[in-house]
Amino acid sequence: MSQPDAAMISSVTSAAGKVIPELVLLGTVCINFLVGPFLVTPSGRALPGLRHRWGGIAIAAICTALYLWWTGSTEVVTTGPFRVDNIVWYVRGVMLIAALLLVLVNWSQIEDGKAAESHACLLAITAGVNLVALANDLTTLFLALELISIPTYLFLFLPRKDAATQEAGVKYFLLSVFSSAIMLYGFSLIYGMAGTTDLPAIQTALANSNQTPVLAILGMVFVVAGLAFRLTAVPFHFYAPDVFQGSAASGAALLSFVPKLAGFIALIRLLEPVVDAAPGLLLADVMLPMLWWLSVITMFVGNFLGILQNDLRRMLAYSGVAHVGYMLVGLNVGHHTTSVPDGIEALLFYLAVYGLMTIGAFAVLIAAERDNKPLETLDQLAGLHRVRPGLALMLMVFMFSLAGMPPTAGFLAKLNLFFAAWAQGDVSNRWLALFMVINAAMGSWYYLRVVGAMYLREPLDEHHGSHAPAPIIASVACTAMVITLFFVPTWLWTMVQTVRSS
Amino acid sequence: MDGLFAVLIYTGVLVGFVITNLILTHIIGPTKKTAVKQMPYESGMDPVGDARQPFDVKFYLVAILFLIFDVELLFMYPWAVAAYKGDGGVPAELSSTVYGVMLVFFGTLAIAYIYAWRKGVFKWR
Repeated sequence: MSQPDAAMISSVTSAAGKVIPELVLLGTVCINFLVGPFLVTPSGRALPGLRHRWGGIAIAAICTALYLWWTGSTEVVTTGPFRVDNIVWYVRGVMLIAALLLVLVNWSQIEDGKAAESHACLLAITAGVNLVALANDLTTLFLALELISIPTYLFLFLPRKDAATQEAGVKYFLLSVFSSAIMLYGFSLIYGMAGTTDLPAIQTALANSNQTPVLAILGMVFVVAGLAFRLTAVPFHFYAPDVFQGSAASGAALLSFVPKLAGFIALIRLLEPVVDAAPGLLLADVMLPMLWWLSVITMFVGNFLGILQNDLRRMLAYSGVAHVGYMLVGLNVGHHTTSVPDGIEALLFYLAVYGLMTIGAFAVLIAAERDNKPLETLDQLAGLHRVRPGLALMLMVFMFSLAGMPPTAGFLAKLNLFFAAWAQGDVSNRWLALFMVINAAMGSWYYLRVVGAMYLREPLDEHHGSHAPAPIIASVACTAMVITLFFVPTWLWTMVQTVRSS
Repeated sequence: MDGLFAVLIYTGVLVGFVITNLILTHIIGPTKKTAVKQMPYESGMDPVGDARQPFDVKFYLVAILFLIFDVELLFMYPWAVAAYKGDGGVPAELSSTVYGVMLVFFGTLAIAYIYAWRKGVFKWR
């Protein structure tokens, strides 16, 4: 064994210093698991109001992480197990803010006796997403992805004890394990080709190999398939509607955004070295057509099936599938040339906006819940503007944003993706842009149906829903951001552009 | 190839030991034929009948706990072997970092252990 050089040693010893916000989150997770069970009797009973304390601790931890993120160093480091660059900076910001919103969404959904575990899982998931962005090594990447999925099983399972929740939890568990296995198989093939798990070293190995990297192609196909499960890209989407329908609304809100964010960041991280290293080789010729088809099929299937749904959470699940199709457009056109706007930039912008609108929509659904039972059908929203005009207005904003109509940020996000695809100039990408427009029109049907039910129909009964403040705060914050981002989008767009310039 | 030759001898001894034992038990072992003993061995389950029997969830908890501590032990082996080997092992500059990593690992497991204990996983109810 050769003696390691000083750079390698310092990259190991300094690794902990690069993940301080995540260490804060994981430290809080440890406190929750250590102290949580001592405040609950063995039969699971707890002081009423305990969940407010755990929620407050989670918020405090996330705010500390946000502060450390904002004041932390922005020095770019590309060696070692963690890679610190502007993508990391951006993802940390987006995920920490999303985590704040998710804590608020989860606040009233969880019993007092289970609040410690539930919020701990949420914090662990947040740290996992940040670590996915930080990963500079296949091993780190896999561990970070598992740090997201394992707490997610618990998070889905904890809120309710009925058969539907358990079915949803088990379904997600089995499929997630399956997808992890597929992805790990792909990693092992890439490792077999390159002889290393270090991403920059894999890029060098690919660039220097003079024959077609068959193993790497096969490996990447498996990895994309494994990640497509998390993204709920067609044909790996089939579990999403069932799981969304069965789990509590906070679980569905988490699933609708967090795995997609992690999956896209992992794909950006993996595809860039692999495709850029060998742009003329078969790799690009295989990967990009595959992503093209994945994107087109995902858009159409998501929207077609979305139209057929009557269950709100199933509809939002298919809406998520369709949005993954749009975002795959960005991934698809991100690797061609240096045109403006760049596909990856548009994708990162879209991810942030999509998170706001989907978490916001679920927050409204939670605020409109009756007797702690989640809203199920569209009929239960009928005439919402009569009983809760504020909630109806906010849900309308989110539906307009999901459909991509002004004056909401969803419109700008879609416009960016469209221009990114159109500006590439070659025929296949222009088709992609056209398919996106057709799908946006198809999608508006089922979003507008929700708005129609709220505003044009009479209420079925005089039920006012809950007045718990947490989900209302979350939805007001999301509405404010979705509308502000339409009128002043430049700051976010500048952030996204600095991400790409690094 | 010397190292591989040792492996070959080891494999030979291993296979020979298993075969010898199988033959010996047949020759010198007592043979009392009862219905239970004639059944195919299936880890204590009845091999005949419906396979879909309810299975107490306690067994899974114990299995998971066993796995956790088993993996913990496996993780300690490479550390214990490499950390204090000197030449060819963990370089001297890294040994304190690696020691810290192991402490964090044990600390996390201790928290998990306390959690499991407090939740009553060790009680056979």
